[in-house]
Amino acid sequence: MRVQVKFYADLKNKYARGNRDGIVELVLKENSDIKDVFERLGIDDREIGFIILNEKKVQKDATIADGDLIEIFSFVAGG
Amino acid sequence: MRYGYNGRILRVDLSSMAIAFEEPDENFFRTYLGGKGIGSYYLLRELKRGVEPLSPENELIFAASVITGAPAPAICRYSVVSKSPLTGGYGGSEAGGWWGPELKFGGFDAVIIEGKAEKPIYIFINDGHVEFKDAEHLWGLPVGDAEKAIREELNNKKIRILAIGPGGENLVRYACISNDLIHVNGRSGMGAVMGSKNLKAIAVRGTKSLIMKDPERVKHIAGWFAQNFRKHPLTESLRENGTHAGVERLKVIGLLPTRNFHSGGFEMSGRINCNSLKENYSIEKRGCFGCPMRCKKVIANREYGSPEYETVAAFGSNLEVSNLDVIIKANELCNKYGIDTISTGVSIAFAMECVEEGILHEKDFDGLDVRFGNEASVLKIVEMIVFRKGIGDILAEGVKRASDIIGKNSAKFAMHVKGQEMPLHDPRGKFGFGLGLAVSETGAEHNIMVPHDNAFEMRDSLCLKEIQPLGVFEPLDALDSSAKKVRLYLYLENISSLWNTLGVCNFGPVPRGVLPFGKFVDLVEGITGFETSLWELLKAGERSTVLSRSFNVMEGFRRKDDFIPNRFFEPLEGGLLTGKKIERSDFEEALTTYYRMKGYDDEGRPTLAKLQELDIAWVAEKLIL
Repeated sequence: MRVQVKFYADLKNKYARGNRDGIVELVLKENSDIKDVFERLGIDDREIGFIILNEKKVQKDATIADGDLIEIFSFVAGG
Repeated sequence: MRYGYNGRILRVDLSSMAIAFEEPDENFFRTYLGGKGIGSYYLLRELKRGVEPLSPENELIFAASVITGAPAPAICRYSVVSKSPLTGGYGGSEAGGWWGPELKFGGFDAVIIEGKAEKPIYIFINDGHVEFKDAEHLWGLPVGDAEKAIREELNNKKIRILAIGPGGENLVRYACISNDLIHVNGRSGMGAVMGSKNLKAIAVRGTKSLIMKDPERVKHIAGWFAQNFRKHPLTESLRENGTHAGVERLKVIGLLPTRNFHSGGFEMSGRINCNSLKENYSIEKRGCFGCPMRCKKVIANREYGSPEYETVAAFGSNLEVSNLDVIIKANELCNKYGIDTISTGVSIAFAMECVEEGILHEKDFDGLDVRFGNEASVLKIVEMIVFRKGIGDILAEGVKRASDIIGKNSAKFAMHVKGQEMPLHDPRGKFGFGLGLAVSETGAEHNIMVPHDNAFEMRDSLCLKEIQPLGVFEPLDALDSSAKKVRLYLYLENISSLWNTLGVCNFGPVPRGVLPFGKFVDLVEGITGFETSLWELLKAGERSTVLSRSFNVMEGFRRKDDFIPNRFFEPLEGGLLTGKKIERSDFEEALTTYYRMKGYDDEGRPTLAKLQELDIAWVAEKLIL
């Protein structure tokens, strides 16, 4: 199945180089979950603030389906 | 044998130009530790109820801590504490740099300033000796010029100086104090109190070394920090971009305050984020005593620094200004003249909304177009505020008083809690932070819990992992308003309060930084020799909160003063979280839960039992309990 992973803010540069919108397309096997996405893309989950799957906030064990949009936001910390 | 601290407090009476030394015992220092603890202790002990903040009866306290000045990262800060001209309650503000350590090397742990000098002076503390110096020729000078002049006339480049500018001299209610131009005690109007005492600056020189209990242990921990902070995404980001990185991160999650907190998604954030800064300006890193992180940023060949996150949002998105150059210049003006960037920005947002709503007009601003997005007016209004010209005289009073004076329903646009202007964070996306805004003793401020709710949403979140020693290990949605969230807030409040008591920078230890709790406790032990624990230290943090709240209670603050601006009970109008609002019933319930968890009564007053548990039963008579 095919999914889109969209990165925001400084994660864009780190994980989606070459794509202006911060989007990476992935092909994964059936019954994959977000943990698999993280592994595939080598995402350091220490800097992940939250994940939105099809407009809902989810944890990493959420399963994904063909056509899903996974949005990844970094750690928010102001000052 | 004392380790890490001098055991000596300097008391200065400016009315009689007299000095005295106090030497409280070890129990005192172990109980109150420094910063907010020592500051709130003296404020509560010595001020009668109802003192006018800008009168000679107010006290201005500068407090380092038992660990300040030890050669380790993120422990160089000091507090300035006084009765706030903005809120009429406890006022306190922290800053880093080198001034705190130099005070310790100069022989003192804290300085208490009473009275008012007949004419402008500055104080010079020189290895335990104290001199009063004439400052009439410095009065009116911008901060940087005054510091330069003082260094020249004292003929010593190693002196550290904190000073006020014309903002403090003109009693702008949110005037600030700064040292070395870029380290600012920004909030609570401490600069105005200093100005009201005719005190321009305090210069310090100290050559004495601190004696630590276990210098090897301290060195080892400092070494560990230096080795590890670059591997940590938060501290590495601070080194790379400073707090400015927060602009884009908050924008994408819909929490970048826009148009006086109407919206959370400023569409032109790309022009004012840290990438834009790096593309257009030459940035250099600066730091503080003992710390390798160097999270402060300055622009090459310019004084007064590059703006922090709060300032970028305050003069940028919240005013719908997308010109980074204007934001940088506004930051420079505020630092040069000594007024708080947050309060100034939010005061200008108030003015802009008043104009948009027809309550104020161009003629009130001498013909300036003061609507949102009008960058041309921003720098001029900053100057009007500093010098109290025209309507600047009203805006210099802070949004609460300004809206009282202007009337006509302008209070709706005055974004403050207890009289202090909102920081640039929207509680509609982080409920715990919203609770903190309401209960913070200084009024609205952003460091009441660090980091905010958004850091604790993911099961594998770094910050969540780091607070497991507190018994918190469940992720919570940022919008969660349950008792579990109140508990999370409460524990983080104790941590933040501890940092303000020990002069610790949020960016060093967990959960915002890299140094784990265990190593932090180790550090305190290595410096002071106190066989302590995280438990004792967090209790000290709690004690500081209860002391400062008790001061407010003495001054008449009650539950009705623990509020958040009404705008936050209305839906966000733009950004990812459009439509989100706080439910009043959720807020009220959380506030009640907080009081009960804290050991306060239904009016938010500490109970006698809570005072006794914290070993500050003496406070009871101040509260007539």
